[in-house]
Amino acid sequence: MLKDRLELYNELEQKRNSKLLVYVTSDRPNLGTQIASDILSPFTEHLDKIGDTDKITLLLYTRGGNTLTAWTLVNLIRNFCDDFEVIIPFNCHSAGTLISLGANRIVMTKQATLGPIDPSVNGPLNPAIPGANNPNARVPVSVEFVDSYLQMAKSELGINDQKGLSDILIDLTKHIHPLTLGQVYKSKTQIKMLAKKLLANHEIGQEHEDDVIKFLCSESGSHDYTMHRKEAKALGLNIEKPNMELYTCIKSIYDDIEKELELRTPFEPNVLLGNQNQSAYQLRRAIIESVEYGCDVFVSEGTISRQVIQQPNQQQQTTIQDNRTFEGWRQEKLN
Amino acid sequence: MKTAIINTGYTATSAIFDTTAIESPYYETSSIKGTLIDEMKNNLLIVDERIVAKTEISNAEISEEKE
Repeated sequence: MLKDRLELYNELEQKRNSKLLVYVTSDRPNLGTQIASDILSPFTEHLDKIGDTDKITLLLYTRGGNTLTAWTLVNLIRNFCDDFEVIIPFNCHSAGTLISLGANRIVMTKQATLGPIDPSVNGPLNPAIPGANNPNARVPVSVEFVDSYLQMAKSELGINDQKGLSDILIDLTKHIHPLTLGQVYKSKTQIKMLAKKLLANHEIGQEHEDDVIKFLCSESGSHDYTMHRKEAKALGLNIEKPNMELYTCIKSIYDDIEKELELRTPFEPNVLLGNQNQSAYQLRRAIIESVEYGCDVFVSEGTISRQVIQQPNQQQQTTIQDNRTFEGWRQEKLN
Repeated sequence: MKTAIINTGYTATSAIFDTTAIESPYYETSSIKGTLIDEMKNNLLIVDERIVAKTEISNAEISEEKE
Protein backbone atom coordinates (compact mmCIF):
# COMPACT_ATOMS: atom_id res chain seq x y z
CA MET A 1 0.00 0.00 0.00
CA LEU A 2 1.03 3.63 -0.55
CA LYS A 3 1.80 4.23 3.13
CA ASP A 4 4.46 1.50 2.95
CA ARG A 5 6.01 3.08 -0.16
CA LEU A 6 5.84 6.72 0.85
CA GLU A 7 9.33 6.75 2.35
CA LEU A 8 10.72 5.23 -0.85
CA TYR A 9 8.86 7.84 -2.94
CA ASN A 10 10.41 10.62 -0.86
CA GLU A 11 13.82 9.01 -1.28
CA LEU A 12 13.38 8.76 -5.05
CA GLU A 13 12.23 12.40 -5.29
CA GLN A 14 15.37 13.47 -3.40
CA LYS A 15 17.67 11.33 -5.56
CA ARG A 16 16.18 12.66 -8.81
CA ASN A 17 15.57 16.20 -7.50
CA SER A 18 12.11 15.82 -8.97
CA LYS A 19 8.41 15.33 -8.27
CA LEU A 20 7.35 11.71 -8.62
CA LEU A 21 4.31 10.18 -10.30
CA VAL A 22 3.81 6.41 -10.26
CA TYR A 23 1.56 4.73 -12.84
CA VAL A 24 1.10 0.97 -12.99
CA THR A 25 -1.42 -0.98 -15.08
CA SER A 26 -1.77 -4.55 -13.86
CA ASP A 27 -0.89 -7.41 -16.18
CA ARG A 28 -2.09 -9.98 -13.65
CA PRO A 29 -3.40 -12.89 -15.76
CA ASN A 30 -7.23 -12.69 -16.28
CA LEU A 31 -7.28 -9.24 -14.69
CA GLY A 32 -5.37 -7.07 -17.15
CA THR A 33 -5.68 -3.32 -17.44
CA GLN A 34 -4.51 -0.90 -20.10
CA ILE A 35 -3.66 2.74 -20.66
CA ALA A 36 -7.02 4.36 -21.43
CA SER A 37 -8.52 7.84 -21.46
CA ASP A 38 -10.12 7.40 -18.01
CA ILE A 39 -6.68 8.06 -16.45
CA LEU A 40 -6.54 11.66 -17.60
CA SER A 41 -8.86 12.96 -14.91
CA PRO A 42 -7.00 11.38 -11.94
CA PHE A 43 -3.64 12.39 -13.45
CA THR A 44 -4.88 15.99 -13.67
CA GLU A 45 -5.76 15.92 -9.96
CA HIS A 46 -2.25 14.69 -9.06
CA LEU A 47 -0.58 17.26 -11.30
CA ASP A 48 -2.74 20.10 -9.94
CA LYS A 49 -1.58 19.20 -6.45
CA ILE A 50 2.05 19.03 -7.57
CA GLY A 51 1.70 22.35 -9.43
CA ASP A 52 4.22 23.89 -11.81
CA THR A 53 7.65 22.45 -11.15
CA ASP A 54 11.06 22.10 -12.81
CA LYS A 55 11.10 18.33 -13.15
CA ILE A 56 8.65 15.42 -13.06
CA THR A 57 9.61 11.75 -12.91
CA LEU A 58 7.11 9.11 -14.00
CA LEU A 59 7.73 5.57 -12.74
CA LEU A 60 5.88 3.48 -15.30
CA TYR A 61 4.92 -0.19 -15.55
CA THR A 62 2.50 -1.17 -18.32
CA ARG A 63 1.85 -3.52 -21.21
CA GLY A 64 0.32 -0.68 -23.23
CA GLY A 65 -3.07 0.63 -24.28
CA ASN A 66 -4.49 3.56 -26.16
CA THR A 67 -1.91 5.49 -28.19
CA LEU A 68 -3.74 8.82 -28.16
CA THR A 69 -4.05 8.65 -24.38
CA ALA A 70 -0.27 8.15 -24.22
CA TRP A 71 0.19 11.24 -26.40
CA THR A 72 -2.26 13.29 -24.30
CA LEU A 73 -0.66 12.18 -21.02
CA VAL A 74 2.82 13.28 -22.12
CA ASN A 75 1.49 16.68 -23.17
CA LEU A 76 -0.46 17.00 -19.92
CA ILE A 77 2.62 16.26 -17.79
CA ARG A 78 4.78 18.57 -19.91
CA ASN A 79 2.39 21.44 -19.21
CA PHE A 80 3.49 21.23 -15.57
CA CYS A 81 7.28 20.91 -15.97
CA ASP A 82 10.31 21.71 -18.14
CA ASP A 83 12.08 18.42 -17.63
CA PHE A 84 10.24 15.08 -17.80
CA GLU A 85 11.84 11.69 -17.27
CA VAL A 86 10.49 8.15 -17.19
CA ILE A 87 11.80 5.40 -14.90
CA ILE A 88 11.17 1.85 -16.10
CA PRO A 89 11.52 -0.81 -13.42
CA PHE A 90 10.42 -3.75 -15.62
CA ASN A 91 7.89 -3.84 -18.52
CA CYS A 92 6.96 -0.69 -20.42
CA HIS A 93 5.57 -1.78 -23.75
CA SER A 94 3.55 -0.38 -26.64
CA ALA A 95 1.76 2.82 -25.55
CA GLY A 96 4.06 2.81 -22.50
CA THR A 97 7.05 2.99 -24.84
CA LEU A 98 5.33 5.85 -26.66
CA ILE A 99 5.06 7.75 -23.35
CA SER A 100 8.77 7.09 -22.72
CA LEU A 101 9.71 8.55 -26.11
CA GLY A 102 8.14 11.82 -24.97
CA ALA A 103 10.50 12.09 -21.99
CA ASN A 104 13.85 13.91 -21.93
CA ARG A 105 15.50 10.67 -20.78
CA ILE A 106 14.55 7.12 -19.82
CA VAL A 107 16.03 5.48 -16.73
CA MET A 108 16.09 1.72 -17.36
CA THR A 109 17.02 -1.07 -14.96
CA LYS A 110 18.76 -4.22 -16.24
CA GLN A 111 15.40 -6.01 -16.52
CA ALA A 112 13.50 -3.04 -18.00
CA THR A 113 12.10 -3.51 -21.49
CA LEU A 114 10.57 -1.27 -24.11
CA GLY A 115 8.51 -2.63 -27.02
CA PRO A 116 7.32 -1.82 -30.54
CA ILE A 117 4.73 0.93 -30.95
CA ASP A 118 2.98 -0.41 -34.06
CA PRO A 119 -0.72 -0.23 -33.19
CA SER A 120 -3.58 -2.67 -33.72
CA VAL A 121 -6.97 -1.45 -34.83
CA ASN A 122 -9.88 -2.53 -32.64
CA GLY A 123 -13.45 -1.79 -33.53
CA PRO A 124 -16.88 -3.29 -34.19
CA LEU A 125 -16.06 -3.69 -37.92
CA ASN A 126 -13.00 -5.85 -37.21
CA PRO A 127 -13.26 -9.49 -38.39
CA ALA A 128 -15.03 -11.89 -36.02
CA ILE A 129 -12.91 -14.60 -34.39
CA PRO A 130 -13.56 -17.83 -36.34
CA GLY A 131 -15.18 -20.49 -34.16
CA ALA A 132 -15.71 -18.23 -31.15
CA ASN A 133 -19.09 -18.51 -29.47
CA ASN A 134 -19.06 -14.85 -28.49
CA PRO A 135 -20.44 -13.02 -31.55
CA ASN A 136 -18.90 -9.76 -30.33
CA ALA A 137 -15.35 -11.12 -30.14
CA ARG A 138 -13.15 -9.43 -32.74
CA VAL A 139 -9.65 -10.01 -34.10
CA PRO A 140 -7.41 -6.97 -33.55
CA VAL A 141 -6.02 -5.94 -36.94
CA SER A 142 -2.30 -5.26 -36.69
CA VAL A 143 -1.37 -2.27 -38.83
CA GLU A 144 2.06 -3.71 -39.54
CA PHE A 145 0.67 -7.16 -40.45
CA VAL A 146 -1.56 -5.62 -43.13
CA ASP A 147 1.45 -3.71 -44.42
CA SER A 148 3.61 -6.86 -44.33
CA TYR A 149 0.98 -8.76 -46.35
CA LEU A 150 1.04 -6.12 -49.08
CA GLN A 151 4.85 -5.91 -48.99
CA MET A 152 5.07 -9.72 -49.26
CA ALA A 153 2.87 -9.67 -52.35
CA LYS A 154 5.09 -7.04 -53.97
CA SER A 155 8.62 -8.04 -52.99
CA GLU A 156 8.41 -11.79 -52.32
CA LEU A 157 5.81 -12.78 -54.91
CA GLY A 158 6.71 -10.06 -57.41
CA ILE A 159 3.14 -8.86 -57.92
CA ASN A 160 3.56 -5.30 -59.07
CA ASP A 161 1.07 -4.79 -61.91
CA GLN A 162 -2.16 -2.86 -61.33
CA LYS A 163 -4.41 -5.88 -61.94
CA GLY A 164 -2.52 -8.13 -59.49
CA LEU A 165 -2.43 -5.49 -56.74
CA SER A 166 -6.09 -4.68 -57.32
CA ASP A 167 -6.99 -8.38 -56.93
CA ILE A 168 -5.03 -8.56 -53.67
CA LEU A 169 -6.84 -5.51 -52.31
CA ILE A 170 -10.26 -6.86 -53.30
CA ASP A 171 -9.42 -10.19 -51.66
CA LEU A 172 -8.26 -8.42 -48.50
CA THR A 173 -11.53 -6.51 -48.24
CA LYS A 174 -13.38 -9.85 -48.21
CA HIS A 175 -11.72 -10.56 -44.85
CA ILE A 176 -11.20 -7.07 -43.43
CA HIS A 177 -13.84 -4.36 -43.75
CA PRO A 178 -12.74 -1.45 -46.04
CA LEU A 179 -13.35 1.05 -43.24
CA THR A 180 -11.08 -0.97 -40.94
CA LEU A 181 -8.42 -0.96 -43.68
CA GLY A 182 -8.86 2.80 -43.92
CA GLN A 183 -8.36 3.02 -40.18
CA VAL A 184 -5.22 0.87 -40.51
CA TYR A 185 -3.72 3.36 -42.97
CA LYS A 186 -4.69 6.29 -40.74
CA SER A 187 -3.19 4.61 -37.65
CA LYS A 188 0.04 3.84 -39.50
CA THR A 189 0.62 7.44 -40.46
CA GLN A 190 -0.61 8.73 -37.11
CA ILE A 191 1.73 6.59 -34.97
CA LYS A 192 4.74 7.81 -36.94
CA MET A 193 3.62 11.41 -36.54
CA LEU A 194 3.07 10.96 -32.79
CA ALA A 195 6.44 9.24 -32.31
CA LYS A 196 8.24 11.98 -34.24
CA LYS A 197 6.59 14.76 -32.24
CA LEU A 198 7.26 13.00 -28.93
CA LEU A 199 10.89 12.27 -29.80
CA ALA A 200 11.49 15.99 -30.28
CA ASN A 201 11.69 16.17 -26.48
CA HIS A 202 14.30 13.42 -26.43
CA GLU A 203 16.81 15.62 -28.27
CA ILE A 204 18.64 12.81 -30.05
CA GLY A 205 19.00 14.31 -33.52
CA GLN A 206 17.16 13.77 -36.78
CA GLU A 207 19.15 10.70 -37.82
CA HIS A 208 18.51 8.81 -34.59
CA GLU A 209 14.86 9.89 -34.58
CA ASP A 210 14.30 8.25 -37.96
CA ASP A 211 16.09 5.05 -36.85
CA VAL A 212 14.03 4.80 -33.65
CA ILE A 213 10.72 5.37 -35.45
CA LYS A 214 11.54 2.89 -38.21
CA PHE A 215 12.60 0.21 -35.72
CA LEU A 216 9.75 0.63 -33.24
CA CYS A 217 7.07 0.97 -35.94
CA SER A 218 8.01 -1.85 -38.27
CA GLU A 219 11.51 -3.33 -38.21
CA SER A 220 11.21 -5.09 -34.85
CA GLY A 221 9.19 -7.90 -36.45
CA SER A 222 6.34 -8.45 -34.02
CA HIS A 223 4.49 -6.52 -31.34
CA ASP A 224 5.79 -8.75 -28.52
CA TYR A 225 9.45 -8.00 -29.29
CA THR A 226 11.24 -6.60 -26.24
CA MET A 227 14.13 -4.17 -26.22
CA HIS A 228 16.52 -3.94 -23.26
CA ARG A 229 18.54 -0.87 -22.35
CA LYS A 230 21.69 -1.78 -24.31
CA GLU A 231 19.71 -2.06 -27.54
CA ALA A 232 17.69 1.07 -26.72
CA LYS A 233 20.91 3.02 -26.17
CA ALA A 234 22.49 1.61 -29.34
CA LEU A 235 19.40 2.71 -31.25
CA GLY A 236 20.09 6.25 -30.11
CA LEU A 237 17.59 6.74 -27.29
CA ASN A 238 18.66 8.82 -24.31
CA ILE A 239 18.99 6.00 -21.77
CA GLU A 240 20.29 6.40 -18.22
CA LYS A 241 21.54 3.44 -16.22
CA PRO A 242 20.69 3.75 -12.49
CA ASN A 243 23.49 3.33 -9.94
CA MET A 244 23.11 0.59 -7.33
CA GLU A 245 21.57 2.90 -4.75
CA LEU A 246 18.95 4.21 -7.18
CA TYR A 247 18.29 0.71 -8.51
CA THR A 248 17.62 -0.60 -4.99
CA CYS A 249 15.08 2.17 -4.45
CA ILE A 250 13.32 1.55 -7.80
CA LYS A 251 13.30 -2.21 -7.24
CA SER A 252 11.87 -1.88 -3.71
CA ILE A 253 9.01 0.30 -5.04
CA TYR A 254 8.27 -2.14 -7.85
CA ASP A 255 8.39 -5.21 -5.58
CA ASP A 256 5.90 -3.65 -3.18
CA ILE A 257 3.49 -2.76 -6.01
CA GLU A 258 3.87 -6.21 -7.56
CA LYS A 259 2.90 -7.71 -4.21
CA GLU A 260 -0.05 -5.35 -3.72
CA LEU A 261 -1.51 -5.94 -7.20
CA GLU A 262 -0.61 -9.65 -7.10
CA LEU A 263 0.88 -9.34 -10.58
CA ARG A 264 2.30 -12.86 -10.66
CA THR A 265 -0.81 -14.68 -9.39
CA PRO A 266 -3.52 -15.43 -11.97
CA PHE A 267 -7.00 -14.26 -10.97
CA GLU A 268 -9.30 -17.28 -10.52
CA PRO A 269 -12.89 -16.86 -9.29
CA ASN A 270 -12.88 -20.44 -7.97
CA VAL A 271 -9.77 -19.80 -5.91
CA LEU A 272 -11.30 -16.54 -4.64
CA LEU A 273 -14.33 -18.48 -3.39
CA GLY A 274 -12.32 -21.30 -1.85
CA ASN A 275 -14.66 -23.42 0.27
CA GLN A 276 -17.25 -20.63 0.57
CA ASN A 277 -20.28 -20.35 -1.69
CA GLN A 278 -20.27 -16.55 -1.64
CA SER A 279 -17.49 -14.02 -1.41
CA ALA A 280 -17.22 -10.25 -1.69
CA TYR A 281 -14.23 -9.00 -3.67
CA GLN A 282 -12.26 -5.84 -4.23
CA LEU A 283 -9.65 -6.26 -6.94
CA ARG A 284 -6.97 -3.57 -7.31
CA ARG A 285 -6.06 -3.35 -10.97
CA ALA A 286 -4.12 -0.14 -11.65
CA ILE A 287 -2.66 2.70 -9.59
CA ILE A 288 -1.69 6.34 -10.04
CA GLU A 289 0.22 7.66 -7.04
CA SER A 290 2.08 10.73 -5.85
CA VAL A 291 3.35 12.02 -2.53
CA GLU A 292 1.15 15.12 -2.90
CA TYR A 293 -2.19 13.54 -3.78
CA GLY A 294 -2.02 9.97 -2.52
CA CYS A 295 -3.37 7.01 -4.44
CA ASP A 296 -5.91 6.66 -7.22
CA VAL A 297 -6.72 3.02 -7.74
CA PHE A 298 -8.73 1.30 -10.48
CA VAL A 299 -10.85 -1.30 -8.72
CA SER A 300 -13.46 -3.90 -9.53
CA GLU A 301 -15.80 -4.59 -6.61
CA GLY A 302 -18.70 -6.95 -6.17
CA THR A 303 -19.82 -10.32 -4.96
CA ILE A 304 -19.49 -13.74 -6.53
CA SER A 305 -21.54 -16.75 -5.55
CA ARG A 306 -21.23 -20.41 -6.51
CA GLN A 307 -24.20 -22.62 -7.29
CA VAL A 308 -24.42 -26.26 -8.26
CA ILE A 309 -27.29 -26.83 -10.68
CA GLN A 310 -28.76 -30.29 -11.30
CA GLN A 311 -29.07 -30.79 -15.05
CA PRO A 312 -31.91 -32.85 -16.64
CA ASN A 313 -29.32 -35.41 -17.78
CA GLN A 314 -28.45 -36.10 -14.10
CA GLN A 315 -25.16 -34.21 -14.42
CA GLN A 316 -24.30 -31.34 -12.11
CA GLN A 317 -23.21 -27.97 -13.43
CA THR A 318 -21.21 -25.55 -11.30
CA THR A 319 -21.86 -21.89 -11.97
CA ILE A 320 -20.44 -18.68 -10.54
CA GLN A 321 -22.65 -15.59 -10.57
CA ASP A 322 -20.94 -12.20 -10.51
CA ASN A 323 -22.66 -9.10 -9.20
CA ARG A 324 -20.36 -6.14 -9.95
CA THR A 325 -21.19 -3.16 -7.75
CA PHE A 326 -18.36 -0.81 -8.81
CA GLU A 327 -15.66 -0.58 -11.43
CA GLY A 328 -13.54 2.50 -11.95
CA TRP A 329 -11.05 4.87 -10.37
CA ARG A 330 -11.28 5.61 -6.65
CA GLN A 331 -9.29 8.15 -4.65
CA GLU A 332 -7.61 6.98 -1.45
CA LYS A 333 -6.47 9.92 0.64
CA LEU A 334 -3.30 9.83 2.66
CA ASN A 335 -4.01 9.99 6.40
CA MET B 1 -28.83 -15.06 -25.12
CA LYS B 2 -25.13 -14.31 -25.56
CA THR B 3 -22.68 -17.06 -24.76
CA ALA B 4 -18.93 -16.75 -24.74
CA ILE B 5 -16.33 -19.43 -24.17
CA ILE B 6 -13.29 -17.98 -22.51
CA ASN B 7 -9.99 -19.80 -22.73
CA THR B 8 -9.65 -19.88 -18.96
CA GLY B 9 -11.91 -22.80 -18.09
CA TYR B 10 -15.08 -20.76 -17.74
CA THR B 11 -18.06 -20.06 -19.95
CA ALA B 12 -19.83 -16.71 -19.53
CA THR B 13 -23.48 -16.21 -20.38
CA SER B 14 -25.57 -13.07 -20.19
CA ALA B 15 -29.31 -13.05 -20.65
CA ILE B 16 -30.84 -11.03 -17.88
CA PHE B 17 -28.76 -7.90 -17.50
CA ASP B 18 -29.57 -6.09 -20.74
CA THR B 19 -30.58 -2.47 -20.11
CA THR B 20 -31.77 0.38 -22.27
CA ALA B 21 -28.30 1.97 -22.09
CA ILE B 22 -26.26 1.86 -25.29
CA GLU B 23 -22.65 0.84 -24.91
CA SER B 24 -20.51 2.81 -27.31
CA PRO B 25 -18.16 0.46 -29.14
CA TYR B 26 -15.42 3.08 -28.96
CA TYR B 27 -15.62 3.82 -25.24
CA GLU B 28 -12.68 2.23 -23.52
CA THR B 29 -11.78 2.11 -19.85
CA SER B 30 -8.68 0.83 -18.12
CA SER B 31 -10.28 -2.63 -18.07
CA ILE B 32 -9.22 -4.69 -21.09
CA LYS B 33 -12.10 -6.18 -23.09
CA GLY B 34 -12.02 -9.95 -23.38
CA THR B 35 -10.18 -10.64 -20.12
CA LEU B 36 -11.91 -12.97 -17.67
CA ILE B 37 -12.69 -10.15 -15.21
CA ASP B 38 -14.32 -8.18 -18.04
CA GLU B 39 -16.30 -11.09 -19.48
CA MET B 40 -17.61 -12.19 -16.06
CA LYS B 41 -18.96 -8.71 -15.21
CA ASN B 42 -22.56 -9.24 -14.02
CA ASN B 43 -22.58 -12.53 -15.87
CA LEU B 44 -22.94 -16.18 -15.05
CA LEU B 45 -19.74 -18.20 -15.30
CA ILE B 46 -20.13 -21.87 -16.01
CA VAL B 47 -17.16 -23.62 -14.49
CA ASP B 48 -15.54 -25.87 -17.07
CA GLU B 49 -16.63 -29.46 -16.55
CA ARG B 50 -13.06 -30.70 -16.95
CA ILE B 51 -11.89 -28.67 -13.97
CA VAL B 52 -14.75 -30.04 -11.81
CA ALA B 53 -13.94 -33.60 -12.85
CA LYS B 54 -10.26 -33.17 -12.00
CA THR B 55 -11.11 -31.79 -8.57
CA GLU B 56 -13.45 -34.67 -7.79
CA ILE B 57 -10.87 -37.30 -8.76
CA SER B 58 -8.23 -35.53 -6.76
CA ASN B 59 -10.47 -35.33 -3.65
CA ALA B 60 -11.45 -39.00 -3.98
CA GLU B 61 -7.81 -40.03 -4.09
CA ILE B 62 -6.96 -37.98 -1.04
CA SER B 63 -9.88 -39.34 1.01
CA GLU B 64 -8.97 -42.94 0.11
CA GLU B 65 -5.43 -42.43 1.28
CA LYS B 66 -6.64 -41.02 4.58
CA GLU B 67 -8.89 -43.99 5.23
